[in-house]
Amino acid sequence: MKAEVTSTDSSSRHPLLFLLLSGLLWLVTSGALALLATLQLHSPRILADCPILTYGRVSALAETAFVYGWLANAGLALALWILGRLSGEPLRAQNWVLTGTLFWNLAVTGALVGVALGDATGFPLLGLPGYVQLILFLSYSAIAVSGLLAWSGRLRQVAYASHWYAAAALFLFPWILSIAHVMLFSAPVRGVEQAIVAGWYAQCAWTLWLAPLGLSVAYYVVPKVTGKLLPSYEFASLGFWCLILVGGLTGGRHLLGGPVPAWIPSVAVVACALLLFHTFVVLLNLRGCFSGGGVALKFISFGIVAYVIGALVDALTSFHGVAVHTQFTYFDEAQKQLALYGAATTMLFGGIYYALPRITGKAWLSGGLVRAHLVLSLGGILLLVASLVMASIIQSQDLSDPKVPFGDIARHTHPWLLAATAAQCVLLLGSLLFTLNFIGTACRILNVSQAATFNPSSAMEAPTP
Amino acid sequence: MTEEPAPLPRPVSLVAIAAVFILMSAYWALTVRVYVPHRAPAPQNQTPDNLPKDQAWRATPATRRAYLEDLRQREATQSGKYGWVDRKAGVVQLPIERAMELIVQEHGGAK
Repeated sequence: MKAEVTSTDSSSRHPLLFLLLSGLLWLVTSGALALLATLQLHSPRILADCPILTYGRVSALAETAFVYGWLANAGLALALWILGRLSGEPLRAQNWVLTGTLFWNLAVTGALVGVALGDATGFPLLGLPGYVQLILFLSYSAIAVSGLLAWSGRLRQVAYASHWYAAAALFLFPWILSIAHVMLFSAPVRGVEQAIVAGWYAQCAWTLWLAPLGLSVAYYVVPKVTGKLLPSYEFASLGFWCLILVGGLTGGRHLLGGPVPAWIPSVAVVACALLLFHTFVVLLNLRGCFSGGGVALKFISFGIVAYVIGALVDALTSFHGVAVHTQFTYFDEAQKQLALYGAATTMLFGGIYYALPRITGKAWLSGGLVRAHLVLSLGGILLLVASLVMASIIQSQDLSDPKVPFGDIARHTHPWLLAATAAQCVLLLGSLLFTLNFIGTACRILNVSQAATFNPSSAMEAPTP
Repeated sequence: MTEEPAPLPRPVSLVAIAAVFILMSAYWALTVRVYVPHRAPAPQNQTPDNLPKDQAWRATPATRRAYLEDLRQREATQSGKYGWVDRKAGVVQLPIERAMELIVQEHGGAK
C-alpha cells in the first residue's frame, strides 16, 4: 500500500492543502450567501434595507464565491495533483503555486467586496468587477506554471484522458478570460454584442474550464478505485476533442429568441446536439463507477449522472419550442445548479475524498462526518434541483397566461422556493461538516511524530456508507 | 514509525516560468491585437454616408465640435451685442440684460 502514496503526494502537500482549504472556506461562504439569496426569493423583506445584501448583490456574491472561490481552488488543486502524479515526479515551482493561490484568493475577496459595493457586472458567471480580472489572470498563470511543467516534463510520454482534461482546463481558462475581459471591459463591444460575448464566456467557463476539471478527476479516480481499465477507452480522445472543439459554440443557446442573428442560436442547437457525442463517450468510459464502492465513487457516479442529464437538458432546451416554456423561469437556475453543484462539485468531492488521505498520509478523521456529508450533499442537490424545476413549471404555466397577476405567480411558486431554501440549508450543513472533517484530517499532519495511519488499504478510502 | 522525508522537486529555471507567463499573456495580446484595431466604432463616431450639404457638419466628431463652437459663438454674440436683425422690418438685437429691463418696464414692473 506504500506505493499508493507517491513522492508527489508528500512533497506537494502544502500548496495542494492551501488550495483545497481555500476552496472549502469559499464553499461554506458561498453556501451561506446562496441560502440568504434563496430566502430573499420568497421573503424579499429580509435585509431589503441593507444595500450590500439585497438580492441582486447576494446572488452575484454567492455565484462568484462558488465558481471562483470553491470550484477554481478545488479544481486547480486536484488538476495539479493529478498532473503531478502522472508526471512521475514531485510538483515543481510550488512557491509559484502558493503565491498564485494567495493572490487568487485576495482577488476573489476583492471581487466580493466590489460586488457588495455595487460593482457587479451582471454577466452570468462573470459577475466579478473588471478591475480584479487581471490579478485573477496573473494568479491563475502562476498556479498553472506547476501544472504545465508537470505536463511538459512528464517522465512517461504517454498521456491519459485525465491528463488531457486537466491540461486543457489550465490552458483554456486564461484564453476565455482574456477574450471576455478585453471584449467586455477593456474595449467593450456594444449593444447586443455584449450579450453574445457574455453568453459565450458563460458557456465556455462551463464546457472548457469547470467541466474538464471535474472530468479529469473522474477519469483519474474511477480506474484507480475500481482497479479496472476504462472500457472503450479508444473513444476517449474523440470525446475530449469533441468537447474542446464544440463546447465553445454552445453559448448561443442562452440567446434563443433574443435580438441576435438567427445563425447564432442555430449553431448552438447543432453544437448542443454534437456535444451529446462527448457525453455519450464519457458515460461509456466511466460506466464502471456505478459498480464500485467507496464514497469517492459514489460522489463521482452522482456527478456523471448529473453531467449526462445536464447535457441532455441543455440540448433539449436549446430548441425554440422547449425554450419558450423554460426561458426566464427558475429552470435556468436549476440547470446551473445541476451543472455546477450536481456535476462539477460532486466530482471534485469524490476527488478530494480520494486524494486527501494520499496527500496527508492520514485517513479521514471521521467516517460519520463522511457519511453525513454524502447524504446531505446528494439529498440537498436533488431537493434543490427538483424544487427549482417544479417552481419553473408553475412559473412557466402562469407566465403563459396573461390573466394571472404577477403577485399570484410569486404565491404559486412559494412552496417550492421554501423547499429550495431547505435544500440550501442542507447543502450548507453538508459543506460545514465536510470542511470540519477536512481541517481535522489535514491537522493530523502537524503531529509528524505520529505513526502513519494509512497503511491498511481500507483506510486509504473514505468509509463506505 | 515516522514519515520518510519527501523528495525535493527539481528546480525550475526562470526561463521556464517566464515562458508559461508569456504563453498565457499571448492570449491576451492576441485578443488585443486582432480585435481592438478592427473594433466597430461607436455609433456616434461613425461617419455617415451621403449626408446632404446642410447636414455636413454631422460627419465627424471634429466637424460636430466645430459646428457647436461656432453655434455657441454666434449665440454669445447675439445675446450680448446691439445690431440689426432686419433693418427694413425694424427688428434689432440687443443684450439680454437690456431686453429684460425693457420687458420689465413694458409690463410695469419698475417702481
